[in-house]
Amino acid sequence: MKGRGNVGPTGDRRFPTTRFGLFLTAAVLLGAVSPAEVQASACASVADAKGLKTAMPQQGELSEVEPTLGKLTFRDNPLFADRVKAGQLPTVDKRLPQEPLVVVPYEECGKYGGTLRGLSRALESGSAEVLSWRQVNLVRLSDDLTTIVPNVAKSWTWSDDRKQITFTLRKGHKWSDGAPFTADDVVFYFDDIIKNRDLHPTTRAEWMSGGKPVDVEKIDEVTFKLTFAAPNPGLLHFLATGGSYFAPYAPKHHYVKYHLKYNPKAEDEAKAANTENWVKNFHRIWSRWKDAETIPAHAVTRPTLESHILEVETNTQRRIFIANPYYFKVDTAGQQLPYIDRHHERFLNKDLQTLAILNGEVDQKAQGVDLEDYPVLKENTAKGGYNLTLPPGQTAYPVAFNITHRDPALKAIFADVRFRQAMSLAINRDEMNETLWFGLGKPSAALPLKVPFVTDADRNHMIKYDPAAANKLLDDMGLKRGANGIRVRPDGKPLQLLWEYSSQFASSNGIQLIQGYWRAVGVDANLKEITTQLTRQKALEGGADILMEWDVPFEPNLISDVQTYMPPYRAASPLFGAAWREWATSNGTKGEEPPAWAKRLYAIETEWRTLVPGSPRYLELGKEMVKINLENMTIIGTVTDLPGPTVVSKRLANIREWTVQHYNYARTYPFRADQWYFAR
Amino acid sequence: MLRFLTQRLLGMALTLWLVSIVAFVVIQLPPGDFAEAYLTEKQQSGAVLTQEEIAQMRQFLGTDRPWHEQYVTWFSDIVLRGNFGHSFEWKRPVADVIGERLPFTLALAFATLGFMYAVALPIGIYSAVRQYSLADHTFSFLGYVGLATPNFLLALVLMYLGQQWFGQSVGGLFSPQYEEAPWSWAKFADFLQHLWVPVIVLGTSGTAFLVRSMRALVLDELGKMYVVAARAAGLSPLKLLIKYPVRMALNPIVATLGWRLTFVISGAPIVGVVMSLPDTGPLFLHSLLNQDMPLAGAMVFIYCALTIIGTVISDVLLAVLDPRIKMA
Repeated sequence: MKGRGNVGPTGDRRFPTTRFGLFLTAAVLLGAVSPAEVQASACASVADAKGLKTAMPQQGELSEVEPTLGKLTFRDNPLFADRVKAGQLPTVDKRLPQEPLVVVPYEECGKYGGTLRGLSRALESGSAEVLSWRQVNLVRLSDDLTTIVPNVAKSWTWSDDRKQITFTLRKGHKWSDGAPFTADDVVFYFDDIIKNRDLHPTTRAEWMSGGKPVDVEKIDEVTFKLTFAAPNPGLLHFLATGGSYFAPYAPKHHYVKYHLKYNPKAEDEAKAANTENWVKNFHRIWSRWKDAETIPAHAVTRPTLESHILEVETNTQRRIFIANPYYFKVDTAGQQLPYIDRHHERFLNKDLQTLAILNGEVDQKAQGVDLEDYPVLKENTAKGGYNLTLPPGQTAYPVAFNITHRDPALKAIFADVRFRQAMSLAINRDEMNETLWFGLGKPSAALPLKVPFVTDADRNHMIKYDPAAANKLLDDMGLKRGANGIRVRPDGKPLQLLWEYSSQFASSNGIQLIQGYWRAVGVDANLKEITTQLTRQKALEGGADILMEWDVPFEPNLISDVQTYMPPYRAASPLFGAAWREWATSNGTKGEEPPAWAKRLYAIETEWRTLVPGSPRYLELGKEMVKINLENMTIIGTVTDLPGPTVVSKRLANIREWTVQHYNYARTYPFRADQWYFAR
Repeated sequence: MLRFLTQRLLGMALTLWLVSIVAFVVIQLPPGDFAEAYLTEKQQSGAVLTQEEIAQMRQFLGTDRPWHEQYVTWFSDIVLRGNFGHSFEWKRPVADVIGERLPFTLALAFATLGFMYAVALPIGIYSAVRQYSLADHTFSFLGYVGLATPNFLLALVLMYLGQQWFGQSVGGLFSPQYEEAPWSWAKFADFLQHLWVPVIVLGTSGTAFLVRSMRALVLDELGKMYVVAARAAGLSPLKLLIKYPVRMALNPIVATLGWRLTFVISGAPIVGVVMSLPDTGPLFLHSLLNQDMPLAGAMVFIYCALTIIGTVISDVLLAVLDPRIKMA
């Protein structure tokens, strides 16, 4: 079979046997249809492969597909027929790249039409899901959540030291306005935007490596090379997941007139447009975030590669997207994707979102749906015309004590690992799980999710409800109980903590339960709800007793940004240990010297960045990080694998049940919204 | 009269200026700024932002400068150039954003005013004429309930009923199929169908209040000598009622029209938020939560301006109707 040259490096595919792969193998063994008998434009799907075998799961290149399926005849959405007839649009074969990506749909080659309705709270507020319906990037994570597959990029090759990666784009790929998309657009993005000192005084961390910004080089129209100062094997994972929100290219033909380097009058034109200078003007019409709208009148003209493009100017109530006539994918019958005509994103107050779902006014919604709403959603599936599933993806309330507290008395107590262990043992996780989450979650220590190096023993580390053991640990520390049952600190004051929390990270019900468990072992916490801004401010000042703002990392996060699993765990709102990090980055001239275990974590970080995901050393260091964090009880976990209720309209087809539902997996991006269609 | 008018207008301008300062300071009071709120929003959905990024954003938005500098830029832009600035969140000129929604707020306010007077005046007059009748007691009872029910509760109850029994779409003032359609009779009819709930919610307590005032005022007039005299002269009761006591009683009601407007406008945001109406209410709340300074500032400014204008209208109307006011 041809097309093997497109295959990515094996190092990125730890588990090459995908479900699809297995199925195909079976189909071949059973003597499925032979290529000669296949009619042109027969539709092969994941459910009925018709003998089609591709190197990558659920998709392939033309050269792989045509020998089996016959030559594809391209057809497009009737939505474009008038414009094609009027000569405003070229015919579909001229709009598609010479090498379109062939998508193998889950069930059927779909029908064109319909409007997919979604909800966000406002512009850039809870809108990641609707973005994920249309977004593309160089690469994508397949729905097995481990295989990186081509998307905008046709293929890539790593250098052996993983410092250089060469991407090949698709010949004849076009922006949504018909202009060619080439390696120049990538070079423009890096050299003139990301590395431009006026636009970005510092280069963003993801494009820094070994202390230097990435170097980009155009080889020909469809080929470019990225060179890093240090090995950067996590790049593809980043692009497919957490980095999928930023496209590493920008339409050069569209932006040059606003850029001082290309247009000497850009400064004057910016002033004429009532902005201070060209830099501010540029930031107003360009954003690193794919989903960030620029000025609405401009946003509607901005070219993109995504499956849907803005159709009309955005107002304060909605955004409307229409199918991109230049989208670069076809199905196995030669129909250009996407099938769905429009995306309608309504901005609605969170409190009313559930009501809108019950009314059947939404076709797909998962982001921001609370588990508390599960019963009412379940009850109304018939009325609302949707299916409801519960893919995992949330973790509840990690709790961390501020080991580097400003107050020396509290610091001494928190820094004693026995205290943290006692606090973990005192929590009744089963009761929390039943009371708050219908028993749908799993009690667990605080651990990264979907990583191969976490074992059940890790998950069960000191999570068994054992108040007696907790009391013993606290007694051993010398924290004697006072008259009212509350323990007394060495300085004679009662052990009274102030737990300032934001309702963004935890419900007060859950916090009150934990407060009760701790009070039972003689540790009293006064609860106070404050805003997220305040919790963050206090975290930065180092004066908070208890912190909760930790986003549990999934494997792609750990690969691309391992700092989320070592002190201070989050730079913008540290759990603890911000001073340790400062000490480490300043080579001991500033901050506070970290304990040995934290130093070891920082050492692991440096090596980790150079490791190929899935390699033996990667697994070894992963295990060590888990061990260090657990042994030191850095963060106390409560319940994990909480499902996120996911609503999908019964009218939608080519849907495969979500296996995870999270920002860090780019929402629906692995589940291919561009091949969904309305069957009914 | 001219002096009175000038005084009032000058006072209004001064109040507006003071209000602008207070508004600006109050909006800046909570910790953080738009960049901080943006960070929260992003982190809530799972994204990780760096401090550098936030600092760049602050510098770009100008929120890193001291508040008095920001205030001078903001206020001078409004006064000198009529420019309310750019909304941080919606990336559009504030005037556009508000312009998109203000018509709905005004439509709602005036529809509510109309509703209040249309319902309250006849009931008030009837209750006065038939004092202590069964109908009077019933209206009084309903009036007290109306006064005592908080708007947001009424909104929730009516929304539930509307959704459960009338199959109305959630939030908004249009059904989905009309949202993008140009104005037509069908769209207008659809609009009216959605309008009644917020109008009732907003108008109930005001109506109740008006019924009570009207009843008391008409009762005052009914006992007066000229009424007795007119009746003795054989004037038909209805003609007499409409021509004399009601007209007299209307004076204070008309004079307080400006205050009613204020009352409705200040009540509108909370109803708008609860029902997710496309009026300025949710926009206002959101801008405050996000500390989208240009938008929030402009909204406070506009709400205050409407309130102050309403008060001035009342003052002037009163002065026109009652010459004694001017002296005071």
